[in-house]
Amino acid sequence: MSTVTNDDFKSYLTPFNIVTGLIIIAGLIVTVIRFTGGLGAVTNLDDNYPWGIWISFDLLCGVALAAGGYTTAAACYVFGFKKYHSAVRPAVLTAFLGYALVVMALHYDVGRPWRLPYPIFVQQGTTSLLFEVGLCVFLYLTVLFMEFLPTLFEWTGWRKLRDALVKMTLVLVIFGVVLSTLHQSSLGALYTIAPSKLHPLWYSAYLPVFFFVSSIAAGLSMVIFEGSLSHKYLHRMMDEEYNRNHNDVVLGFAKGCSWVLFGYFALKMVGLTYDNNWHYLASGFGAWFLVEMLCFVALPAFLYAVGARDKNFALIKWTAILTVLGIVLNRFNVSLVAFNYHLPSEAKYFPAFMEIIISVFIVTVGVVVFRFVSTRMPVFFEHPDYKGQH
Amino acid sequence: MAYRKLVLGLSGCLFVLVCVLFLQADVMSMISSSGKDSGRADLIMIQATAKQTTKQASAVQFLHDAHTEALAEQDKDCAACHIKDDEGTISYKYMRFEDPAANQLKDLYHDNCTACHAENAKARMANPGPQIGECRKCHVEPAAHTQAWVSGSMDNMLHYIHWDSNLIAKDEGKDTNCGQCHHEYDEDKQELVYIQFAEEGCRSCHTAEPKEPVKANLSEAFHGQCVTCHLENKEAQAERNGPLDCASCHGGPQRLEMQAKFADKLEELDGVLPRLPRNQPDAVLLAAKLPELPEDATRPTLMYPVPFNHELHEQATDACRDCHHETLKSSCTDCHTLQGSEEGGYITLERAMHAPDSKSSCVGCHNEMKQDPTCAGCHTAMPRGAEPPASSCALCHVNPDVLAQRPAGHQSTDYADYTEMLIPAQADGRQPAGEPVIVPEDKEGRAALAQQLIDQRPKEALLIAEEDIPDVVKIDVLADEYQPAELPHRKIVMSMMERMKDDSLATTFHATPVTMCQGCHHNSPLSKTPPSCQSCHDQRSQEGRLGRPGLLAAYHIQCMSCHAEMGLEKPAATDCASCHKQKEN
Amino acid sequence: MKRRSFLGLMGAAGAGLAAPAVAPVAARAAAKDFRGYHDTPGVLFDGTRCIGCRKCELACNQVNNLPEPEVPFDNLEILNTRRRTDSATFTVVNKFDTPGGPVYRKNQCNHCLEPACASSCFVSAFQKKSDSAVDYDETVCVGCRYCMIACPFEIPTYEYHKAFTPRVMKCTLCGPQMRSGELRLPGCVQACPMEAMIYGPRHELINLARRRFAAFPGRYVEQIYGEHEMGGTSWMYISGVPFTQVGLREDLGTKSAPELTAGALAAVPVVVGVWPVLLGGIYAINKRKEKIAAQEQQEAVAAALAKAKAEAEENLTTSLSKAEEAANRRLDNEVKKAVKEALAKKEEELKAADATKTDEEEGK
Repeated sequence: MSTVTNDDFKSYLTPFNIVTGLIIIAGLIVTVIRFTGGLGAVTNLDDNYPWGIWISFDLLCGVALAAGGYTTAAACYVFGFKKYHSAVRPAVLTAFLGYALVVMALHYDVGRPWRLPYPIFVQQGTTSLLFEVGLCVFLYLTVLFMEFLPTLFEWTGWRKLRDALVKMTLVLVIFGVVLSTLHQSSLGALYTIAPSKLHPLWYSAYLPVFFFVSSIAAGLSMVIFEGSLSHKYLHRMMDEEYNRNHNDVVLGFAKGCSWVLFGYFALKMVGLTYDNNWHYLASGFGAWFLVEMLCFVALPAFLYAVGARDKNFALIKWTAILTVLGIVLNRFNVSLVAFNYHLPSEAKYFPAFMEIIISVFIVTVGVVVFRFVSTRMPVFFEHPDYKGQH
Repeated sequence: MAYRKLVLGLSGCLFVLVCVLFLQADVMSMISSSGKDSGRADLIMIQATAKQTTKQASAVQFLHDAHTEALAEQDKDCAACHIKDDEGTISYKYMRFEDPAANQLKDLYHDNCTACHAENAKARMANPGPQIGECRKCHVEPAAHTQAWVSGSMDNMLHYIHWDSNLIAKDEGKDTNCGQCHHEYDEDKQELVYIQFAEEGCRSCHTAEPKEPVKANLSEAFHGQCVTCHLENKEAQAERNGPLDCASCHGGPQRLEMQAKFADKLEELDGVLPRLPRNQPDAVLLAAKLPELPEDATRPTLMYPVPFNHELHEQATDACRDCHHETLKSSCTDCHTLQGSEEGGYITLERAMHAPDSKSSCVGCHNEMKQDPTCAGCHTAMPRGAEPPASSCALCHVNPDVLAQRPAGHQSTDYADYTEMLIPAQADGRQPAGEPVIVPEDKEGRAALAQQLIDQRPKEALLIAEEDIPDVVKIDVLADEYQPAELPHRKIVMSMMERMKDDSLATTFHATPVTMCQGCHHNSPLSKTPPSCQSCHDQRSQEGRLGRPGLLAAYHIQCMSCHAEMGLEKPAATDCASCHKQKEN
Repeated sequence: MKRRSFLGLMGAAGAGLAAPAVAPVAARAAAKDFRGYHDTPGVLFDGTRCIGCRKCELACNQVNNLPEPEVPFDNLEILNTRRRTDSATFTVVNKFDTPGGPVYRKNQCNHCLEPACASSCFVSAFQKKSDSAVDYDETVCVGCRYCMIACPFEIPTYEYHKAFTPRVMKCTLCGPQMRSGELRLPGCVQACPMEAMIYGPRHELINLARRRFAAFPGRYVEQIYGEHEMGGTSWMYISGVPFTQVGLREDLGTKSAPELTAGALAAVPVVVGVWPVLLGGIYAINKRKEKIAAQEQQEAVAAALAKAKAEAEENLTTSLSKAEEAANRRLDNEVKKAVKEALAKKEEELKAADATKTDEEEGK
């Protein structure tokens, strides 16, 4: 555009844009190194630690935190909490972006990313839990895309396509919940094959259940957390209905999340008892386990309950952050901290600088795309042409 | 924010909890890494209330030697804490002979311990010991020390030092002093008496839980007897007295030290301890007792009797009880019968003599001797599965008729003779069923026969003549990557013969000059010219000979495992070129 | 019949009788507790034989054409550091200091009967072959490295420094070389100067190990590592010191990798089957609730409407009747008034008539 004036250009130089720009440039540089020099050139991965933070953070945490999509959609469409309707679209968008970024991160992590479709289209390793994860993520990404498409079509104005898709909503939601249940739990089940490597406090035959239940808490908390963030930065995009219902959503989710976290805590205790691992609590790992369980599960469960009761939105917001951190901590514990617990500390893995850059880069891409989509498409508001048509 | 305070408080509590957990984890790791002392021989756990149902305080860890030393500094001795009975025997227990009720016992300890410590404090000692009120200084938990003590056994050398000592008074009218310790209970006189040549080991009567009329249990008997005497010697300011502390007898390192000293002493005596003056036999004929049979029963075919060199074994064992594990007054065959008996714990005579893993059996003890590096090179490699091997029966179970066939001192230079000698008509050492060998009934007669048979045994090792030993053997059949290996065959054999020539076990059991060749030339007939390794070991694939090494491995296993077992550090097993040079091409 | 041929015949008959017990491989494979195919080869490593010469490492390097290592194979100093397999080393010998002196143990892929790597691979790149080798197919490998996570023996390694063709690397039991006839024994087994490794049918190796235990009491820890560990391995170990002292974990259990994940995998069809029904049901219940609620609302509205209508009608009728009454009354009044007026008029008229009459009468 030849008519870009100095003022226009300046308006792009916000601190947000500068920081994201720098991160994206750094990410692109590392990307080039990664795909020309191999994994060894950018990561600290070794033969004892084949999975680093790209799996721990980008895959395990990414998928868990994108659980808001199926929890919100299920709450709204299946369980009939209509007042959550306004929260569905942001949640679905976040989930879709989250999964898309997970797949993007996987391209960095696997050795030959161009073969990622192999397990589905070339040779199926059906005994592998990773196969189940892969298949479910692939299908769920498709489902999320289809759930998101109406938003896009409303923006582009393709009414017929949009209407056809909206009719399929319920089927898509149920399909999404099935797929989410499967792969959220399977991510935990991935580690059931290595009882000798994962510390007994974290290893359990119930790992898939733990991962699934905690993903619900993660999803709910992420919706609360993102909602408050969007409120702060994207308020202008929100319509009256969204704003009116937002508080209801937050309260409802806080209550639900409190229950889920209490349940999760109880399940973990059942697991601990089932394997009779109480004596490990007296060790260093035991202390760390207690920190995770008390500060990041029991405490938020309690705080959520208090917050929901007092309608204390600030408390709920902070609790959501605490919960999200707790889930991240749990995923890191399972995949890195308590993994290979028998190795001497000097053989332990710590992520390389460039690995961290890629992880930050991917999150940044997600934020940018979210901003782009939510400022243009009817995410936080109802498209004026489609008022009340859901 | 009605719950603000509550929430803050709860979070605070959790935070503190986390900090404590971390600190605790740190502290725990510090404790575990600090490591305790390696264990004390003098640690006594005093727990007067052990029999009470309610636990009142943790047991007191009493360091006996620390107190002995402290008392010695104050010119006090054992009597400060231990009382003596009318005969002057010191009580093994603290300030009492018998245990009173638990409560009284508690008071006894509290009163006496603190009284002494209080006196110390009054005398302004640097370390007076815990005072009244300082309960936890004695009742410490968790335990600060660990107990580690060894049994303070009386071995042959220690025994010799005692019966040879002129500090111990001689028995009345005799020039031995055995009666000062050894005693027996005379039921008629109802007192302890000493009967010469019928001395019994202490443990025969003083067991852990002795039966009437024996009063003292093992530790009471030993401590009463030993410590009283040592103390008397000390009081009499004799030129030396035995130990009065715990560690000298019960400390692991101290005992090792003592054994080293004893070894030196044995050398001073030219390696031979004077024999005990107990009138023990020089030779014994071991033969199974025939079971009582009905008139018309078929007489079982038994083994030939075994002439047993008692004198030699007195030197080779640590103490009489190594073999006479129950009593010195009966023979093995009394309890260990052919079919086993209740007194013998149903251990048959055959097992009692041959059980390969028992320390009391002949074979078991000999097996232990074979672990000596001198012997281990060959013997460790020999499968011990079926023990003893049938071919060795006749080594011990000798047909007394051999006396008629071979005059004493007969030695042949023809190796084939030895081979024949080993494989007589009854290779298994059994008596022919029809014509039993008559074993004398009387003890003296049997001993005499045993002595005669023992005298038949070679006096010195039967060794192959040097010129009959191939000198350097060149192993070139496999030479491939390396040049042929040159095995200094004669040098090896000579050095092994040098080591075994004074060994009575080897002298007796390496029954022919070529027996030792079997260390390497195993599984082949005894011969001066045994077949080469290739006869059995080939270098095909492992298939079809599972477990039998190929030729290459056979050589390596043979040489290397022998070197390892004998403790030969050079050449190292991985120093290939020291045996066969690398080929240059 | 000669004695020998008679015995031979008897033997054949015996074998014929015994054969059904061992022959149907497929039937055994179908059994719930798979114990490996009968008669497949394995390797027995005898820790009391190994002298730590690294000849096996050298042989492995050569037969697999692996890159030359930084530290040459005749350098034994390297044994003082603990090593593991890596992408250029399929096998390593480690030295372990034990109370009885140094002990060596070779480490390589154990070729599990039910391999964790094969079970975990989502493209089935690993396969247990009939010659016991766990084979790797690099043409499908995506490089997810889950096999490395899964392997309890920490064997598979990865070529992290290759950008385009990174492979998972591990011991092949010299399967390719032996299948092509290039080798008759795995390279390391062939090279061992002490025959610390024996290659042969797995069950015979187990028997051999037990014979050694019996022949040398006290020399071995009387257990065969790998007989049952992780469901059994083709490569097994016997040792003179406890296995944990030579870096073999004894806490692995006897469950094979597939057994460990079977529970999680079994849940998949349950979720797929139950979830849609359950969620659909919940949806239907909610929908029905809404419908009923709507219907009830509708009915209530209708009832309210009817009621209002009735009330209105009633009001209307009463007010109507009231109005009628009033009208009637007014009518009456009017009528009365009219009648009255009429009457009065009439009277007046009458009066007037009377007057006229009288006037007339007067005027007349």
